[in-house]
Amino acid sequence: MSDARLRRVNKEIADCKNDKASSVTIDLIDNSPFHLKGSFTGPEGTPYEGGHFEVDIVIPESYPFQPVKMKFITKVYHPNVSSASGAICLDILKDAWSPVLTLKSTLISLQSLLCSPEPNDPQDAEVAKHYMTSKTSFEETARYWTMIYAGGPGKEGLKGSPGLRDEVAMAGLEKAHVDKFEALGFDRSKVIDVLRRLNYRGANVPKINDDRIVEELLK
Amino acid sequence: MNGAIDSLLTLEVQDPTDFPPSSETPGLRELDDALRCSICGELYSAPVSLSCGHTFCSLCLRDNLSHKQECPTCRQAASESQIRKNIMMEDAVKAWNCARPLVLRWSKEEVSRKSRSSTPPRSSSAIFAHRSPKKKRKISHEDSDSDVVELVGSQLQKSRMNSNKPASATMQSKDLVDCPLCQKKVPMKSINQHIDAQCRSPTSSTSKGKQKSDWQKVFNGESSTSNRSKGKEKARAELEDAEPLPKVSYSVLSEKRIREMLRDHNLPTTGDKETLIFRHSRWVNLYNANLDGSPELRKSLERLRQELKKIENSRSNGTKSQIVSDVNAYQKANKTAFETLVEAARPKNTSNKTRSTSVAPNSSETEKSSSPPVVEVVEVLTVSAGE
Ligand SMILES: [Zn+2]
Ligand SMILES: [Zn+2]
Ligand SMILES: [Zn+2]
Repeated sequence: MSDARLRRVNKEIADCKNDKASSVTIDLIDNSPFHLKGSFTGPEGTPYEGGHFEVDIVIPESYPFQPVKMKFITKVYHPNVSSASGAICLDILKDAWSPVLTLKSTLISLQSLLCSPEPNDPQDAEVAKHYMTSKTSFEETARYWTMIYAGGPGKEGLKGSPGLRDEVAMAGLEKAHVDKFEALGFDRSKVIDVLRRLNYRGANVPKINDDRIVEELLK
Repeated sequence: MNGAIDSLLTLEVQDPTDFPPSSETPGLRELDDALRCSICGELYSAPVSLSCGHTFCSLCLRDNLSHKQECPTCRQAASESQIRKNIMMEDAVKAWNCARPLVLRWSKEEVSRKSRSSTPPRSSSAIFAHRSPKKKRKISHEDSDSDVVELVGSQLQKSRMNSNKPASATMQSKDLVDCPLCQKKVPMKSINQHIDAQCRSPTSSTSKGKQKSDWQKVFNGESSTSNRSKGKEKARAELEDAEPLPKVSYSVLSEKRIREMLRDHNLPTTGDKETLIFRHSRWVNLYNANLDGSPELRKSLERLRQELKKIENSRSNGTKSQIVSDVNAYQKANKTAFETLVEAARPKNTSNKTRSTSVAPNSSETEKSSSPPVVEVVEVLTVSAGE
């Protein structure tokens, strides 16, 4: 039956609307029931706690036989989420999809992906390296992103002044390191970019000598 | 694309949550759920089982096996050759289809009767629990809400495992069903006549010129083979021992050969190779799934062709879906449509939820942890439900 997809999606949307106890919600974006927006709150006890995360949902023509397409609308700092595009690396969105999975169960899986990053199967290699090098520093950055992009705790101090966004914190770097190379006459944003790419954090810092960084900065 | 939201709103969807929660009428939701396919969420149509024992609609399963050779529920390796008709399940669904409107009405009456007679509870739970369902119905004012709560315990645990079925948006009169072909509401009694009369006015959707006229030829009986084979075909489709069509490896076949095979089944031969393969493979699934139903429930080949046409149309519409760059702005602009949907979903929700919480305090907790039948995800869900 050709309306099977519509019927199923309709049931799924209604299910989410009716289930007030659920931690995930699904909204329509436009007049198409096949393009939706999911959202959920960041899991407690993680750097994403207190954030509100939105996900773009596209239901393909052969749904539910092929996986729903999901990507983060809200920027997330996470090894399995592209920090640029929001693309997600999660098995059930690819080979491990099954037609008995639902939009709701998939959103809940995304929520739990935030609890348990898989740095060995990364979507964002730089973020994954950061995670592996220093989990503490990674979590600090992820928390900062949650505050800036997902309305997480601590935003009050920054309200109405986005210019105060700390680019060093956004990149998960240390101010002292950025200052040091800026003092050599390089553009601050370029310094941040290079140090981020080289994963100049934690135990990596003594391993990367200054010449290497300067070389990169001169490129 | 305004049509989509309209059909979304008017679409009648049946769902286990049409019934009161377990705390009110134990077992009814679970029964309705047990008779539904976990792929499409509908009551089983031509149910078939795999060797792992999981059951699906034949067409749902066949379409899924075309994508992936595994059981959707337990992920055991599966193939078409494992498919066995589940005749008893089909009988159960047939009976339930017939009884459902009545049971639904009874269950509502039961709930309102209970709320009217919500006098202080009497303690007769042990006796009550051992009574047969039939006797239970006859108890008028003796049974009380507290008795029901005692019964609920085991039900809750069961529904924890299988309550991921979506809920329907609206309450409707169950005498009307929506026609699977044209989606119009038709009295259940006359649905077969309606379908046989080809729905009077099939929706003329935006299919492409040549392909459309080719389909028209098929239905007007203009194509070369159609006239002579029509009468024979219909009889063959309804014959009990009709043979299923073999699976085809399209990659080794020429476009010409696929066209011939389509012609053999009196199907349009227009479109590129991908379209031809899509058309033929879906036809094989429709045809074989139809044979998995009992003979008196089988559809005519003519009707299967109409279904295939609809599938093809929705396919070409689907690929045209627009891309929205600024999601939030777009959503704001379309707020009204969205709000209508929310409103449509609301009435039922409030009535069910308030009742369930007042009678069984645990039930909202249970509903929250609804989980899909796939094992890995179940674990994940239990974690998030604890928050
Ligand atoms: Zn099904
Ligand atoms: Zn199975
Ligand atoms: Zn019709």
